[in-house]
Amino acid sequence: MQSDRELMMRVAEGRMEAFETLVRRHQERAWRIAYHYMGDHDDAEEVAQQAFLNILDAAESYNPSAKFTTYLYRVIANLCIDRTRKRSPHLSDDPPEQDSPTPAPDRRMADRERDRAIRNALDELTDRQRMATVLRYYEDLSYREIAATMDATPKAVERLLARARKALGGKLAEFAEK
Amino acid sequence: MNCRETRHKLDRYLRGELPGEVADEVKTHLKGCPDCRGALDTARELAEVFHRASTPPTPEGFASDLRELAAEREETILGPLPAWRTLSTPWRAAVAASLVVGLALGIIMGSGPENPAGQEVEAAQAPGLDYLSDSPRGSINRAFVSMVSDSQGEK
Repeated sequence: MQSDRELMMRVAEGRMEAFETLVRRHQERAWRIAYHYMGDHDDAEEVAQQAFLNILDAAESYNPSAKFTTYLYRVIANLCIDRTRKRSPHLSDDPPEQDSPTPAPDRRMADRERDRAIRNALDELTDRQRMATVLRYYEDLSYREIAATMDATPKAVERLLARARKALGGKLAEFAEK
Repeated sequence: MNCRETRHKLDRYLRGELPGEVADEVKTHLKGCPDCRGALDTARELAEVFHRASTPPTPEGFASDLRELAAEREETILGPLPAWRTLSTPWRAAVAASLVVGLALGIIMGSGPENPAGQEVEAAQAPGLDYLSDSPRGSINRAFVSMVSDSQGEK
């Protein structure tokens, strides 16, 4: 299997099949970050697609010393933050239906309520707190990786996440399974 | 370690990501601080809530739609790819090497002395372009020399 770096070199040569391989390999994580940050299906799809198009445009200047996923996270994070700063306030999507196995109706309602509470709580964070939270809790990135993605120091990430936890804790702790 | 420092590190403490010495300091602080133990419980619950949150699947056709979008953009912004960009790196290197070799051969062949012995050559015997025509060899050169001599004589 070709590495991300090799694929990027081929993308720089104009090889579209290499680009498609990269997209298929990383589309899920790009989508997950964009969706949990934006909270809107259409916005998230646009952001995730735009991120890959930006990577395609800049393929010739790609610096292989940086891990490709860090590069991808950085492009997505910048697009997400930029887009939320420009857009007018909106209502987030209703949380998605759970996939199989089909849970009992009560369970399903509880899950939807939990997802909606998460969405509302995330929307109240600052842009950077929200991005740090998404990268940490949905992507399980280390503080060092989050710092590299957000062009910050690990210490700054520590502060961002501590404030985010303080804001989120009171609103979401009740949804934890006891 | 005070409460503020401890709370900044609770998340990594829970995941075992702190260096041993720092983790020990957090542990010591937690033993004597009920408020920070409460914050640790909240951090644990928060991680658990996020862990169970739903994520919708990637939109269907995401990659193929993106490939079409990318192809359209390449056509619109750049026009069709130039032929050299469709070649892989080894082919590009081979083409570049052939061009360099060809150029070098051309320079070497073109820079050789036409009269290596350095002898003076009469204009009439100098090689001319008339070998391409039906005229007798050297006739054009001779005609040119005589024309120049006549015009100088007139002065």
